Amino acid sequence: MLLRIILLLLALSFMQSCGSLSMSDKAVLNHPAMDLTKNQTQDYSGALCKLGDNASSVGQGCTTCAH
Amino acid sequence: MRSLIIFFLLNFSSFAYYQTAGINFTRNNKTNFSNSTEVESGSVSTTALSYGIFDVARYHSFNFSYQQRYLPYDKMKVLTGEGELEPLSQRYGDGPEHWVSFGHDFSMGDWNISTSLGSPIGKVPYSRQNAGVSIRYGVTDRTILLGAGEYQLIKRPESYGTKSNQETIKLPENVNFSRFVLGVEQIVTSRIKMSISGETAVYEDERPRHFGYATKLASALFTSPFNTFFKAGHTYRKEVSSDALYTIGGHLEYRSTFTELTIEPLYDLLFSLSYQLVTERQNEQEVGRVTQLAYDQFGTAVSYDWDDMKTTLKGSYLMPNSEDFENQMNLEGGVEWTF
Repeated sequence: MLLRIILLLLALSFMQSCGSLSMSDKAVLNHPAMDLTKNQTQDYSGALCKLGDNASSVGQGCTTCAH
Repeated sequence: MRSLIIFFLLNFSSFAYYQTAGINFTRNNKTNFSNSTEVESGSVSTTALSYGIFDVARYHSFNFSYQQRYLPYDKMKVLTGEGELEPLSQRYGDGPEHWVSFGHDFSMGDWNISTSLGSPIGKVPYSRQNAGVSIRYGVTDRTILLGAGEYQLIKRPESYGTKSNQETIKLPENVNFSRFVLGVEQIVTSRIKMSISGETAVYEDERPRHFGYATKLASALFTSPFNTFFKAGHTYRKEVSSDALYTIGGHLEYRSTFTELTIEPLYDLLFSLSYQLVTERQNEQEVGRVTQLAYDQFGTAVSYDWDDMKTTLKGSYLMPNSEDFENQMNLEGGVEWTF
């Protein structure tokens, strides 16, 4: 459900994305705290041993954690 | 050939380039290592040196980084064919590990293409040689399409593992990993932007393929009394349950939700607080057992952008819900100069 709402918002937003942005809008949207590719405090790229790259694992057998 | 030389001469002539150099330290106190039949914890520390040269020629930038990692090999153990746990220090000494990576960035108009290569130098127990490419294309002023592909050749020490049915098997030493991501980043209003992406990845001959998605939102909340920003995101990944398991364990499922609040009390001085909840679930269909592990992670960071130097300090605290795993603390500090 959450995914559907997000997709709908994105679609609606895309349809009305004709207007250009002002310089002040761009300054806000390009602020480091608005960067969607990385976060300020932590790297959330993945945590599960086999589905991510580091931190912990479920159960036994994941000897590659934290690598 | 002559036209190619002229092309390079024209492109790599005197453009107004700039360079960056950085040093970064991280220390993870009490990293948990799942050693087949037991969990041990030890400290991991990393020192990274980085260098970048930007706009060195029209559209091109390059970066290079070197990392030195100290891992507690004596706490990291593998199961031998005789059924004993053997510390990696017996095979690899004490380290440290040396890793390098190279990157190239091409930006022209609405296109941005980044490529990267990375590898350890010398012998390390868990080697990853990787090559990756990521593409960003601005369809409009507000919409960016994202695509990325990554390949890794993973090498591991000889080791054995126990399956759910108690059968002991030799684990693969060489694994090919590939991952593809497709997504879109959208500016929703002048103060909100969002992204959503789907991914699929597989550790060949080791794990079933997994699919997942990630969605993020960033918003500029207030400008008074100071700039305040909010960020949130959710990630979900699940292995295909009908695909066979090649090695030990069960089918895995991963959920992560995070929120982050950043304030800017002075220009270029940022304070951030964050919270993340991660849930990991393993379903061992063969024996009808489901294991779930969750953890809370609290983070904080402060950074300041001086005229030609950026300084960052970060800390996070991780609390697992299982007694098998210890609480972890991560600290990170870095300086980057631009000249």
